[in-house]
Amino acid sequence: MIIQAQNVSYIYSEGGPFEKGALKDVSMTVESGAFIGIIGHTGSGKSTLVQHFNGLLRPTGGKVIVCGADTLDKKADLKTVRAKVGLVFQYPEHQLFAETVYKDIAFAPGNMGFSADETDAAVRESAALVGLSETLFEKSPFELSGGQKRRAAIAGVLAMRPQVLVLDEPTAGLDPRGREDILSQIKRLHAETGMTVILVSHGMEDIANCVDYLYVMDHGTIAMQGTPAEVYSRYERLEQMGLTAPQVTRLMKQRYGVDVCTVEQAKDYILGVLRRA
Amino acid sequence: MLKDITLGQYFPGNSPLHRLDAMVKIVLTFVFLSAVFTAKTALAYAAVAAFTVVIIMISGVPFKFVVKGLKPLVAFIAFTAVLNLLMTSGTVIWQWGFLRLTYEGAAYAVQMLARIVLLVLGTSLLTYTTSPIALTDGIERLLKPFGKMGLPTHELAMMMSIALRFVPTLLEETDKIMKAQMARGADFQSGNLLKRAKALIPLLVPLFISAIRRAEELATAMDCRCYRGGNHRTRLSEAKVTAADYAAGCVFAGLMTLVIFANKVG
Repeated sequence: MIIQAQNVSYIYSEGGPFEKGALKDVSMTVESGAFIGIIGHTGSGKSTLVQHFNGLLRPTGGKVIVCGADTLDKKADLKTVRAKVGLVFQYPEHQLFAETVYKDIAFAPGNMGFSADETDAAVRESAALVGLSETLFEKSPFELSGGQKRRAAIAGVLAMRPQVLVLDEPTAGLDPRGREDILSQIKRLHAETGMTVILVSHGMEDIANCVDYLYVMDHGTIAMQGTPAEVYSRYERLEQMGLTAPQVTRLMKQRYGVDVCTVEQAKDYILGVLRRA
Repeated sequence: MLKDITLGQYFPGNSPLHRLDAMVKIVLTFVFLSAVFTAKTALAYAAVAAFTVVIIMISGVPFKFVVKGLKPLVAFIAFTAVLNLLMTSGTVIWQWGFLRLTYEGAAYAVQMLARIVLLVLGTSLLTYTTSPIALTDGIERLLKPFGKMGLPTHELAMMMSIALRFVPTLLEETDKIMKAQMARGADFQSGNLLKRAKALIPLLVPLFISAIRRAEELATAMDCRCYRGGNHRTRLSEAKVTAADYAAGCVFAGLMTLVIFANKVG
């Protein structure tokens, strides 16, 4: 396994008036090459949890082991951990700063001590992975469109050549077309490179047809886990947590009593039923 | 990490101190300041210190939290103390080169130390017990007489409340961008001064851009709600000076009298 969280708790501003428990006794194991989804309502602790995966936050209770390194260990090299686990924040385009797209993507590999040639190769490779044309390299990142900015920002993290890619709500604020584009790009990335991917979302449909395994977070704990079909089949429970299952899941459950989570699966099932009839 | 600064924060509560009128509290803070500066003898300082402890207790703000507010000032306080200790002329106790320790210096250093600590503790209670909105409202009412002389009091107060309103937002934003850049291997903590200053570029550029974007959005939102500045604006809740405020005024006047008296006696 590549990331392991053992009974992790985290409390914000411990001792102050705004003390807030964000995580309570969370345990989770991520195997190398997996495609994992974490869903939960706003404030359920999912963003706090993923910041533990690259040592940006350290647990106030329990421990997190990333690629064999305990992030609480004073001697642990957090920079290496951060290079191994690339974390793409919510609205990552807000972190763009350099004069050109190329320089912005090259920021991370430069920090990680890549040579000039390695950096150049990494920039081109990661831009290709997110579908960002090289003709944009010399433009200012602030001239790009919303979707392009987001791709550039994701490329900026991929350029470190991480073993794990964590994306916190990568589709937030995009239109349906942009959302579809980014998600299919991520899926392709996982399929082509075999990179471990952790996708954080509150949108249900988004995640259903990508991930192998799903964790549902509620009030700082893991409320449910399983394959998407398993999780979505208990949609009454999801609704209690303020989440919704994909519409197609509800429909198929009510109409046919089967668990599916994508339109594709529903189509196959209905075609099967019709063929038999 | 940036959220750990407690000085100047608002500590929500419902103590008698929280309920006092903001304008009155600002005036009382000035009375307290004058009391600290008037105090000359140990007895007078003791009186002010005891008073400070009592009002902190009344405010319901935990001592730990108030004392934490001194933390950013520790270096400044220590520097002042050392400077006073070594640079005051008088009866010499110990001398080394141009540095000399005198009785007068020691006494002065202790006095300055007490003065700064009391000043910070006492005045920080104003922001701990008054929400930023109430505070700017209080300032606006205090400045009202100057409005007749052409000072745009409402605009000044509005700018202040907007600035205060955005402090936590910008801190949060800074924290977020810092983390995002650290996730890309940025290092804000090591290296020499030049290297550290350069490391701030990836933080400052996105921060400025987002601040400008927020300002534009806020201006549009205010325009949409037909905001047009000070004249003809009415308030939803009109603040009133109550009996409790007058009573608090008497208490602070009492403190001032006590300090003057203690100066004479001790």
